[in-house]
Amino acid sequence: MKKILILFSILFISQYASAQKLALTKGVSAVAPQGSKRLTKAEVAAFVKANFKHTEIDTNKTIVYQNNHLLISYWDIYTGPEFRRPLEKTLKLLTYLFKDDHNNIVTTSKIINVNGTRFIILEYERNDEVYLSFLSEVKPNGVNANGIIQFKKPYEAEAQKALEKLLPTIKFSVQ
Amino acid sequence: MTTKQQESDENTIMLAKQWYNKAYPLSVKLKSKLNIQNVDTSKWTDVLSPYWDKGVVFESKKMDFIEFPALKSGDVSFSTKSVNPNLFNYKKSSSISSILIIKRQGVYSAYTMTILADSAYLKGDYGKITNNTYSHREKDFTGLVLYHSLNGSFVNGWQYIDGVVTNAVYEKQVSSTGGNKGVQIVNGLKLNKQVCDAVQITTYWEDCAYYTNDLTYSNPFDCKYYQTTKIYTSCADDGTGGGNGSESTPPICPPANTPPGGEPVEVSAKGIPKKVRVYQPPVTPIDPSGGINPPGNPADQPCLIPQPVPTDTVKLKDPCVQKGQIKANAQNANLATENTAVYNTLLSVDGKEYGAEQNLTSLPANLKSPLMGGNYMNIPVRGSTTSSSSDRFEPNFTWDATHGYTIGATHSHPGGSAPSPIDVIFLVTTSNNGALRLAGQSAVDFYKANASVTAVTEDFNYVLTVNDWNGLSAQVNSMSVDQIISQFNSLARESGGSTEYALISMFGDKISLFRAGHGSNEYIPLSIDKTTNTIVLVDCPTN
Repeated sequence: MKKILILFSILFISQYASAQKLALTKGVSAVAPQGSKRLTKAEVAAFVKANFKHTEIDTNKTIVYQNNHLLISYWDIYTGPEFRRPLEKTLKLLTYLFKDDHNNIVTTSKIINVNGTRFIILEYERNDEVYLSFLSEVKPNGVNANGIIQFKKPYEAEAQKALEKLLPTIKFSVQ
Repeated sequence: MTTKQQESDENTIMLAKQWYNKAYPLSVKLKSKLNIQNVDTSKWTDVLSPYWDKGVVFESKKMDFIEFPALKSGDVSFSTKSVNPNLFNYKKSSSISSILIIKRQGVYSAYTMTILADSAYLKGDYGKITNNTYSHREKDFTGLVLYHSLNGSFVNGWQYIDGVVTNAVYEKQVSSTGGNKGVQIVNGLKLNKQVCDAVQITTYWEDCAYYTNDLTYSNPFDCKYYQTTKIYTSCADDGTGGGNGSESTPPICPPANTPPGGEPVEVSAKGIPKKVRVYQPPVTPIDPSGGINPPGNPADQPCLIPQPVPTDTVKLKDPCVQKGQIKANAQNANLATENTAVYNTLLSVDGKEYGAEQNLTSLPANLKSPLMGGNYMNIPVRGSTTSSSSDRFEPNFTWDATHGYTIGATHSHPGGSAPSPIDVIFLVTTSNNGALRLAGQSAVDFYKANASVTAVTEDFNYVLTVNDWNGLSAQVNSMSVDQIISQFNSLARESGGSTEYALISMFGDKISLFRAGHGSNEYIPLSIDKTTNTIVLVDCPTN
């Protein structure tokens, strides 16, 4: 009886996880943190209106989830060979752009390594709303993964935990 | 006991109040307790209203002036410094706003008058600013006075140094790349006989809720904070008009229907290199020493009436043809020297922008031919001169034989980014420059056909040109500088850090963007591939 219960649990969890695993158009896939609900464009708009003053999430390009107080989005980009640059230079550029941006204040900018893939982690605030964004290195096929977790300041720990869960699940068709 | 004068003043205020309430009906009705008012900051009457009980009346030149302290629903403050609006300290504000109602020949008009004091004048004493009103000005007042209509549109303004009017202030008429500047004239931009300087002013808004019975807005709650930013120009006639038989360049006229002022007099003040001719405030019965200069320009002051920009058909330039012109210009020895010197500054660790103007020594005989090379001045590269938080290089603009004809500017982007929207704004504002427009339509056309901005980075040089001046101007003027920057940065982040993508995505065919590898003059146009929505190099046909 105990074995049957465990088997059911495994089946249930794997089905749940597979339901949340979504591939993007350029070969990147990721598994949203447990408890996430995929949102339609209208649902994203409603959630943003109810919770935030502003959002940088473009629903035309991204997959968007709601996880409790968080709005989690990710998308992939193709970059032509002439426009690829080392992650360090991208970080320098993105940080530099904030110098003239009086609406957003950077609180974190760093490069981390998750399972062999390097990511820029950039966190910035606009009033009491926070964007925890990530941007991966460009893989040899020119594709990289990007994402934003948007939340209100009190939910920082929740957002960090979601990012910690999300990044290791990101897979590229070309490693 | 009430005197006859008091009775007369009360009557004047009552009539003004009747007019005001009719002209500016209360659009935001106070609701029941705990209902929050949402204030539209573009409509200043929602935020500022006359404190009727504290009006001061005086008469000058058959006009009634009534000055009221502004009752503020929430708060509003002006500053030349730009900070996070949540962190702005309204208690340490260097500005004060009041409402001025003027009755002239039976016709009323109303303005907000904002006095923005210089930190050198305040010396940390923020209460000192309240010593200045429309009718009384401290002898050493240094700062700006700005008049806005009650719908928020700028009317005009004046700059004072040591109690003397030195400059007239206009809204975004002269070239500038923005940046934060103090109100004193430093390294002024000389335009024929005018010396101008850009001043970026940020308005901080506090939007609060009030109880319905809180008529003096004393107990705010649920406050939210915003900011808006505008670039103004502060210009002075340098007083040399008449020399060599030429007239000085008149300023751009502010809006009409403004009261007349006094006669122009020559003044000099500390920090002003030459005497300037300006109109002084009217002498008022309250303070014979003079108050603040009135809103609007004196009716008899010579000034230029801005002409509407002609609506010409947009003919997009072929970037594959244009790249030849860009190459020819980049090969000019002086421009190449400038670009190399700018590149070398990227090795410095201060992270600031360095640059130089690209000035022609003379204009070609045929202004209709595209500029291919030309005679450029050798201008030393310099760094950002502002002491503020901005690290931007701010080019000057001249259009005369002595200082040269500014056809562009080159500067470093230490972060490695392509030209920014600030560079786009520079091109748009310079195309409306007074000296350029005075030189005639052929000069304006020549400028528009050849103007460019070069951004030098560690890996690439970028050149930005304009295709659709009217469209670009309309787009730039429809947003605040902060909004433009925010949108650009958001697009850059969304595209994985591609500022090339962000710029073209934002301005489309209105601009052209070219890129050459460091040390190369082979500029290649950039474009967004509509199928893949990615930035690409345009594959131009081989010549």
